[in-house]
Amino acid sequence: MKKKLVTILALGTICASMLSVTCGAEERKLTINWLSSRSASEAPIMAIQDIAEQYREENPDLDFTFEIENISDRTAYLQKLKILAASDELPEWYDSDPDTWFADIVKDGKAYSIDDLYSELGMDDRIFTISKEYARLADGSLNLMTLQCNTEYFFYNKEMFEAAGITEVPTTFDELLETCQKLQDSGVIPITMGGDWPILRYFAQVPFRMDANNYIEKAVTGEGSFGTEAGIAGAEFMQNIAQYFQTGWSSADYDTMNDLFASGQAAIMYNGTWALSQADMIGEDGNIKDSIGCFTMPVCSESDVTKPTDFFANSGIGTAVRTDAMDNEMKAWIKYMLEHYAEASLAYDNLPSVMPDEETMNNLPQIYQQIIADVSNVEVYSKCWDVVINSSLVESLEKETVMLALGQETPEEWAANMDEHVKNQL
Amino acid sequence: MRPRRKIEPWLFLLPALAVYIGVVLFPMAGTIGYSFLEWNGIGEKKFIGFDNYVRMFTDKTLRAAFFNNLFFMLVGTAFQMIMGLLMATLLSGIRKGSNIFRVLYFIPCIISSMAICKIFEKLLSVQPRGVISVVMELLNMKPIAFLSEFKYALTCVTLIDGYKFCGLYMVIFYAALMNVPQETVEAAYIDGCSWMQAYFKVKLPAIKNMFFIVLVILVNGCLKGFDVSYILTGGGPGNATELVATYMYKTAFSMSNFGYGSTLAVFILIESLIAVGIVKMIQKKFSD
Repeated sequence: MKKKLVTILALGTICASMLSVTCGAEERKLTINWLSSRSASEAPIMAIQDIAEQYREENPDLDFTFEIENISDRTAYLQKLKILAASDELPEWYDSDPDTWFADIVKDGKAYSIDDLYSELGMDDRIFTISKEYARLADGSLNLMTLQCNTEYFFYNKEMFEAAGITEVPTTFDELLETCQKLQDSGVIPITMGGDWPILRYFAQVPFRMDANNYIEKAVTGEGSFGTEAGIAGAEFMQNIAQYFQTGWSSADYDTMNDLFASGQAAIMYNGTWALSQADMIGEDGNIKDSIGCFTMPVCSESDVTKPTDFFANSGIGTAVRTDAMDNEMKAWIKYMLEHYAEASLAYDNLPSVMPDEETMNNLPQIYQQIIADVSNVEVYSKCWDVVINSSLVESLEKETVMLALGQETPEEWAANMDEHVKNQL
Repeated sequence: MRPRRKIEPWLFLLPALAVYIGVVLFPMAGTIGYSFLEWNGIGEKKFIGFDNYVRMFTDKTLRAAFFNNLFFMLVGTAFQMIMGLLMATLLSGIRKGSNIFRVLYFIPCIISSMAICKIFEKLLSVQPRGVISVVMELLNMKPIAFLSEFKYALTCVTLIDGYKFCGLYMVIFYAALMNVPQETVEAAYIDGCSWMQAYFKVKLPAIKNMFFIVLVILVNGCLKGFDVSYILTGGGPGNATELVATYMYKTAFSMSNFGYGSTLAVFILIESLIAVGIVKMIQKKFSD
């Protein structure tokens, strides 16, 4: 009996000491599930995965899980995100635009303040201005990390322009229409179009020149109307330019738009600089191919309220961090990621949201230096309508705009219908 | 002979009943409940009574979707029933190779809707050129972008949806035709009937009940049609191919209006019950 008691006591002491050793040692653990709207082959995703691998190697004592779920179809992605939010199951990282829906998420306390994060990590000055400003909500708060520094151009095929006898790029909307007519007469598709948002960009350009962002901001809140002079002018331009899109454009998707341009079937494509690699516009030297040029948003007239150097610039869809997932390990990882992101991103021909060092900046291919210069010269950023407008109104806007572009509605009818949608929604 | 104790049938039914209640009735009740609320999925749920139901009557998009759905149902039902019966009739007339043809006819049913829609999207494309536009050019016709034309888009969507599912009804009609007693048919031939007379006056009346079963399935399915329209055209151009189910889905999950989306779901439920009720009344009249 005595022997049994001693044995039990000895075993108990050993177990207790083992427990104390394991409990006393701090276990480092970081789990990030990232629901991303980017495809797995996109530069930001590949760059961050490389950095994660590196971080794992440099922190062998950290139990680091970094899983990315990619849903590249934006509509499907947003639907999944909204369902997860409704069931309170948002992952640690999730992508979103700074739209009204995300503003509600922030109000609900489910997205950490990135302003605070950048300050804490001392990264405030290292982020491009557009990469911060684009992601701000209407109330000025910043709750999204952005991974790109983009601008949007009219990319064009120089050989097709030459064949059509076009010697200069258009600088006004009237010149753009004339250019398209010449291209059409020469037998090519003047402009390629596809997907949901590109058509809204064409629409937004004339009102932006005539009334900056006031037009859309007032129209969607009911303070103004879609049928103002700027709106009607935009609608008329839309109907005129749509005749130069490829046949069947309204059922074409984004990839078809890129493919038509990349394969040399269409002369002009309006897209963001993220499409440089998607549409095969980058040559072996890392610069834009010699056969491709680009020009910025044209102007209306001398009475424009925005400058020719003002146009669409953005930073791509942002990434939010769930508030309760932000701990010291998360902050350490994000700091490491941001410090290495510029180099990793440029390795995949993607202009990052974090400024590279001066030497790298000076050695960037000419196209990226042009993008940085163009973005830096913008004083008034044109707001992306599909981002600033309430999601229920975007659906109606896209539908009505397609009807307008296909000639099923007059500009006045379009404006009246949109005003009614706003009224119903309010 | 009646069982002495009546508890056993219910015990056998219990698992299936539990699944039915959990998967069908409970979500249905939840949807009806949500239809009286205003909720965007994040904030507070606000009770608004019948406001969502009142909104349905002034909703232009719903009106367009409803009439599109009627067209989709009528044309889709006719197309699938006729094609299914035609394929079953052809199959029942051949001995060798009927298995291979049955498999070939059934393949569209098992291919995913996404694959079918992408195939037809490329086939019907004008720029870049698809097969149909090339054939039209060879026939000296101007290629038409069917999916982008208001007057053709809905018909295209209906026929593509019908193409996907007609194999299913082929199988049902084939099984029914195979079960028609051979003696009855042979007796008809002996009495001097031609093939057409035997088909229309002996075989088809023998499978009369199957028609109504297929009709119920078709009408119900077409009223809830979603995938082909959503994938192929997204309801566009404009509202040309918008169906009630696609509109409901977009309202709930794209526009984050779960309350009104639930109301549209209740509308689809009531619409389907009424439609099936009408089919049952017609069936009863035919039986009488």
